[in-house]
Amino acid sequence: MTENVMEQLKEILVNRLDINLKYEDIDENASLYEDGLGLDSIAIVELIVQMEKAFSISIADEELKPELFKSLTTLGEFIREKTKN
Amino acid sequence: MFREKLEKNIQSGIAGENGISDEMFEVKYRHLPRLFSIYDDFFKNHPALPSIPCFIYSCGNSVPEAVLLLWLLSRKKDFLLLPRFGKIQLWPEEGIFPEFCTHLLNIDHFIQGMNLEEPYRYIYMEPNPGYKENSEREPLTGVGNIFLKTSGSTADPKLVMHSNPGLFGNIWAAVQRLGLTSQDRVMIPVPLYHMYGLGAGFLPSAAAGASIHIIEHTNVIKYADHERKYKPSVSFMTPILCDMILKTRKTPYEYRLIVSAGDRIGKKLFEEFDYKFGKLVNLYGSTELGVIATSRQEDSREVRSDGIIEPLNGVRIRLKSIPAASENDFTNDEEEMKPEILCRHNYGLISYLDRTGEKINTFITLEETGDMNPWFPTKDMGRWIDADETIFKVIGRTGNSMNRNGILVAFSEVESVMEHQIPELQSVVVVAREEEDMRGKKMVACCQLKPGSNITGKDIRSKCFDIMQRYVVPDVILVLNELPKLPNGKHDRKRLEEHVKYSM
Repeated sequence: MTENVMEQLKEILVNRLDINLKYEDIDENASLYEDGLGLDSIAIVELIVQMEKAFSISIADEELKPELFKSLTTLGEFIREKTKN
Repeated sequence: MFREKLEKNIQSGIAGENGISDEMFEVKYRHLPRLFSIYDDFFKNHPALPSIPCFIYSCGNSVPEAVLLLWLLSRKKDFLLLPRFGKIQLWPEEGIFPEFCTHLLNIDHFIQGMNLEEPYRYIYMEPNPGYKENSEREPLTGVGNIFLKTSGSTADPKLVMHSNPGLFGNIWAAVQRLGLTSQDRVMIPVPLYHMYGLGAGFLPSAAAGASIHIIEHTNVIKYADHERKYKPSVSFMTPILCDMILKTRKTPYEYRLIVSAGDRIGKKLFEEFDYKFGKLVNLYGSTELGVIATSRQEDSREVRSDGIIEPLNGVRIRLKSIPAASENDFTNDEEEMKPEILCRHNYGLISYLDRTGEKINTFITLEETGDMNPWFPTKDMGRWIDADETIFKVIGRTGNSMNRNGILVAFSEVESVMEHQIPELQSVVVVAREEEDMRGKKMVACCQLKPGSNITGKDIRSKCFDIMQRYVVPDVILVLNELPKLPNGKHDRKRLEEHVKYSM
């Protein structure tokens, strides 16, 4: 289950966001943003939309928090929590 | 004028407990006199600063930087405002900085809890390596001139020179038009170094004594987080930011006023955003002229969403038909019917300057109509809505540029960077394609390779990610054997646009 979430997240980054990222370049603990994986503000929106689709979740406004959207690791934990039920 | 207004707000109590805040800092307006006095001493006692310095102030979106900006304006210092120095500088190779600026100025190494009353810890200055003494040059400093960089092409960089009172005049008109008061809590998620964030957002809000909250490197996560904590009543956004917020937010939030500028916001997006978040107004302006026109707040959502705007008090607009034989700017007959917007008001730029400080011819007169006043050509096309010519709308752009992420990008800038930094490319012509996505129209870079070179469109695009900021990266790269040319040797953009339109 754990691997699945991370794999799906990586797949979104590489294939569905227009950010020129390759699988081998992904560091799960790196920052999502320009100082890390390189997502700009538009890619972040696309990521949210794709995450909601892929995991059948709805991300509430209160969940749009820097602590959650920090790295793939924090996102992965967040998704696992949300999909637990 | 800035100094007087700030002091008046404080003395009269209008500003109250209001101030400027960001993620890390907060400075109340009533702290400013003391802070400014400390800055006065710091700059006066700084070794090797001439009596009349002219700064290149590299300014990001933070409280210390905003406060320094207010000090520079309040003390009528001369300065050029630039973004924080990053990896990309769209300036020509010969030199980066204007010759008439004596020093570079920036704020750095600020940490949480830092004491702003110790400027020596965070304000940095060094001599401008590009400074050139020139007694022939018309004096540009000593009166509090403010210089801004336009989004002109790399081949033709231009600075815009505003006077201190001129800038303030426009700011004050904006306060009145937007109805900003000290009761407002204003969110500024757009850059301060750009005329919109500076002249429409930050300075009018400060002049009104409103509470201000600044965000750096905005994205929807940060924006939502700050909005929750700060609870703004007003926000200065761009169409792209509105779009991003609409796509990711589930619960509405009521603003008293949201301003959108940078490009025309689509009607549907406008209506939905206005419905969910509060009164949305379009703001039309430029680096050269500050705020030119806005939607009328009393107009219905329907009218505002159509892009119908009214010039500010004291701002005059004329529409000028472009003559038929104009240099490759128009692609079809229909566009020749769309006149260019000319603008005139007391608080616009004094002049364009080149890097040496030489004035560049800026205004046009309409002698043929008998009007000898200097008008500024905006390079935007417009149409009057009413017979009395009191309200109009912007319907497009002349010339070869497009709006990306709220910033005007000249195609020649992109072409120049690609040609200079990707060795396999002989020449590049950038054209726009009509279909739009969140970033706007698609930017297509048509590339001709140097003989013997071998590189794919995919790899060219990959290189672009390394050499340019994301918002400037072309959406599509087309590699062509040859780029069509006009008889005068210039590239035939019209043919390329058609090729891109019909063959992709």
